[in-house]
Amino acid sequence: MGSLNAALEPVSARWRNRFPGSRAQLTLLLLAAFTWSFFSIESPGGIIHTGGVDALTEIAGAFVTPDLTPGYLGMVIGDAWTTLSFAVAGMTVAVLLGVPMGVLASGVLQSGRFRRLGVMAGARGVLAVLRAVHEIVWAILFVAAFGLSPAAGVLAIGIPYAGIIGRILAERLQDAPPEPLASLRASGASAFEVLAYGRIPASAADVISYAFYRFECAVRAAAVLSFVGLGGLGLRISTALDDLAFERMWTPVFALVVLVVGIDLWSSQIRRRLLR
Amino acid sequence: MATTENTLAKPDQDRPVAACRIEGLSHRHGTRTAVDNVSFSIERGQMVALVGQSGAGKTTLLRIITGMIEPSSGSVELLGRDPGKISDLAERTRLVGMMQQRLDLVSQLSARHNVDAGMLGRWNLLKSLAYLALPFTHPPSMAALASVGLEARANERVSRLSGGEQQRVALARVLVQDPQVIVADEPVASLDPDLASDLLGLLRKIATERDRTVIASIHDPVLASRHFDRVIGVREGGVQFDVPAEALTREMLGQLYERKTGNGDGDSGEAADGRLLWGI
Repeated sequence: MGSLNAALEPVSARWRNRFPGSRAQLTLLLLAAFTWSFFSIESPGGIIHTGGVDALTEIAGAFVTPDLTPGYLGMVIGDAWTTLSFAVAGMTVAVLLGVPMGVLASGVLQSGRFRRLGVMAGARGVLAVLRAVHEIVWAILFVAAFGLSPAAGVLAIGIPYAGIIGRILAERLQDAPPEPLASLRASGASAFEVLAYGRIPASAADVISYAFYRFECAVRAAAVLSFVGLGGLGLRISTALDDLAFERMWTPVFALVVLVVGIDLWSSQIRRRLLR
Repeated sequence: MATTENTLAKPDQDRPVAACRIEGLSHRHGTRTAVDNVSFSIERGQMVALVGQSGAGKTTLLRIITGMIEPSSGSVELLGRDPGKISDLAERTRLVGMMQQRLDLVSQLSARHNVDAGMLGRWNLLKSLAYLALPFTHPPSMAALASVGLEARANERVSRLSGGEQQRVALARVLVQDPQVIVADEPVASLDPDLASDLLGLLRKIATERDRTVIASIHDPVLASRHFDRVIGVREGGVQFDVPAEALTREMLGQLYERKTGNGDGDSGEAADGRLLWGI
């Protein structure tokens, strides 16, 4: 955070000098826009729903009494497994697609100037398209294309995440400290060997821990995608909500929390080992 | 160790080929002249130290000798060949290798993989990936680590080694590469005196036994005069003196390290160097 501020400092200082007092004016303008937005929403009976408080109390009450009967718990565990499977399969696609694309997008393998710029621009463009579209939009597209199949869910996660992982990898590979790389080249390493012996080791810890964070996001996305009809924890939550069975809603929510916390613990353990 | 049989020019009887011949070498970074009209010639098997203030141009000179930087003007020949013009990597790494400062190691890799990197000019991609990914060790790399006293720490990440240990890993890398001309940038800068002497002794042994040539920048004039055959004083990019180690005097060093402005500064510099030179 400190280094980020330091990096932004000269730019913001320049802007401040060019537009004195503009920051305060902008803040006021944004606050006004925000306040106005409340009154601009057309909604019968205002935007605050009066029955909402009762429903919230009921939902909160169910929080401490989730449905843990063996039959239901078994179903939720099955759903959690489905959601986790979608997330794992989606991440596998994301890594298999994103890593090669990221290496190309970093431009570290091409030596000729024009060829490198061409490959970088092409790969970056593809990655940008992949991640510009949200996973839910991809899911709707794929469900429209091949119906409610598991492949639709896996690709819906894998494709945008490949775009994100590829981009992060490309940046880390480019930012590897230059001195060790120059030294490897002096020992006669080819561009591919410099990648394997220099750039990848230097960026592995960051990229892997970021991929784990993305894995958490993939679990959430897989749960949400189950609303689209692919099965899993999200579908279970939505069914319980439709029935107003709040005890049954909390059980899959807790399962989701357990999955995310589990991945978090696993990733911090791996990260510690990588940085040791 | 790697094979020493190669196609490098052998000294013939009529006209011996110098290990390193530099003529009229200059190099400019923008408007600043880093190396200014330097010429010298080094015989095979010699150990030559470059001494001088930091920023005098020693590192740039060494990088030009290895062919990493192309000079603005002048020529470099190592055993009769211009290192910057050898496109075959294996051939170039057999001719010349540079021992970098310890910052130039890959800190996330183990010590032995950093030493293996000395072989990358000769290994194909498959072989280099195999040594990186599979649990097999490359015996010459382990031998090189043993010769610098680090075999027990071969699998340790470089970031977990001390400054001195990292410097020894860098030396092991150049030992496994085994070039005809070893160029070293401050090879013993962060080592304690005993270890520095050990490592320079190791370089001497290699120079004598395998007829290798060593060109190193050395921070400490005492070490330079004790362990090297010849000492070249570099100041503001040019050669100020070029003498056999035993002919090195306090006056030469005093002038070499003298500050540019003001006589007072120069006097105190000389006093400081005088203390350093008790060992000569």
